[in-house]
Amino acid sequence: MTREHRSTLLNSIASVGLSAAGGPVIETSADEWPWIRSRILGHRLTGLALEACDRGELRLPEQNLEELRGLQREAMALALRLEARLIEVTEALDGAGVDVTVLKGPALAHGYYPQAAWRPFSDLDLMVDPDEWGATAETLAKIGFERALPEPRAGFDVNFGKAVSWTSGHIGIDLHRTLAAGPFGIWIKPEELRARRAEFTLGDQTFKRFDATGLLLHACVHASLGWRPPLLLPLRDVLQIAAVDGIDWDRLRNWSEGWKLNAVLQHALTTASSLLGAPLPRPARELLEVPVSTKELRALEAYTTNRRQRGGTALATIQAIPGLRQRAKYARSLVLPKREFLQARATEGERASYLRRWMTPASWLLGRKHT
Amino acid sequence: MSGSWIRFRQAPATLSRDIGDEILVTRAWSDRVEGLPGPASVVWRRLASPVTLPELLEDVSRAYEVEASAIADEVKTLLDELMNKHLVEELVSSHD
Repeated sequence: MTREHRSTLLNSIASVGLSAAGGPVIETSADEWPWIRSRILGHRLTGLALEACDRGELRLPEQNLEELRGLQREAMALALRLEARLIEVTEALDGAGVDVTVLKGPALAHGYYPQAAWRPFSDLDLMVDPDEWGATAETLAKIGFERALPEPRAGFDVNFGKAVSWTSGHIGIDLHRTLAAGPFGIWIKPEELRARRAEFTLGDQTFKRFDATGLLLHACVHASLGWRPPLLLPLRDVLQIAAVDGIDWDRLRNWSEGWKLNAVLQHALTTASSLLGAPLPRPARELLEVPVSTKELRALEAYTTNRRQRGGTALATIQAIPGLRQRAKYARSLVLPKREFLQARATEGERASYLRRWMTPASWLLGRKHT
Repeated sequence: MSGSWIRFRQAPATLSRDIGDEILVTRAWSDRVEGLPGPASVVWRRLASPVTLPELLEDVSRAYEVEASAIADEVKTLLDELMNKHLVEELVSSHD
């Protein structure tokens, strides 16, 4: 299978159903299956791949098709378990007076995709107000969740953190303060997104998610900054949401300009449209014409280039944090976290070491000299 | 359980996913996911709105082109199982 054939195959699966005309018919053989299987799982495309098979746009040998059905069954069983747990978690948080916003997975699968089965997810993403962070942590612990890593230093979560992972058995929750790590996470104002929410229903429960405009902004942020290179399902999210009625494009532009997200939105929209071969709606195309500052482009490069592996996000964060005192606090959290945090990060059998931690930024700087 | 004055429907707290020939179902506060393949998925879809047993049998028999009497026992057993798992509830008419 050539590199070109592979990317055409994946992009076609990720774009199934976007065009009324349908996509090209792609024939595959059994010896290509291990590669296809691993990429379908990696990009979380089981539902879209099965849809492509049903439409005759993807032809898999019967045995591989059966395996794909099994993978989709597993993915959907997990999605249902997560939704069942979401009901329990939000009831408990409601009881503790915490106002929860559901992000990503269930918030997009229901109402934004033609079928919820097209949009798998493997954990829950919830956002709460930083003022309710303590009550949230207490409640999650009460219902059996454990924090994956301790806080690096007191106050880090609510001042600088993007999200904290909690687990209970096979169920994971990412509890968000904001939508992105690094400078964009500092510039975004989550309280404004939370002020514009909509409701959706699962079973007999009602949940809150961002409205369509907020969801599109978050989808762009996640698609562009979440992974390098971008994953296909978040790119599909961008196109899926951009196609709905009800997006306030003026508000999106105001948010984008105010929160220095023009480069991020443009990157996400152009990448989604070009990789998945789907045109953008006119107002989205107009967003591509908005001028982008050098500061934004530099910040975006900290995520989308190999600067990301060289501490680019952490260094860009220091520059974005307002005030010397806060910058020093952030830097101290990175360089001198609590022993407990270091120990939790150390690999098994390894002693927590500040020296090892300090060598990381040193290697970033040395790496920089060589590039 | 039988009798046209009783209607059945999906319990309000259920969650489901349609994955083609099968529907996966669970309910809030549960870790167990049930698979409803083939005819069971037809029954589940029909239970999205309240339905009597005769209506349900008629729909399933039409979908599979068999006599209602030939599938009555299986459909009743399925309904019992779904009710035991709190996935389906009975609605009893107050004016028969």
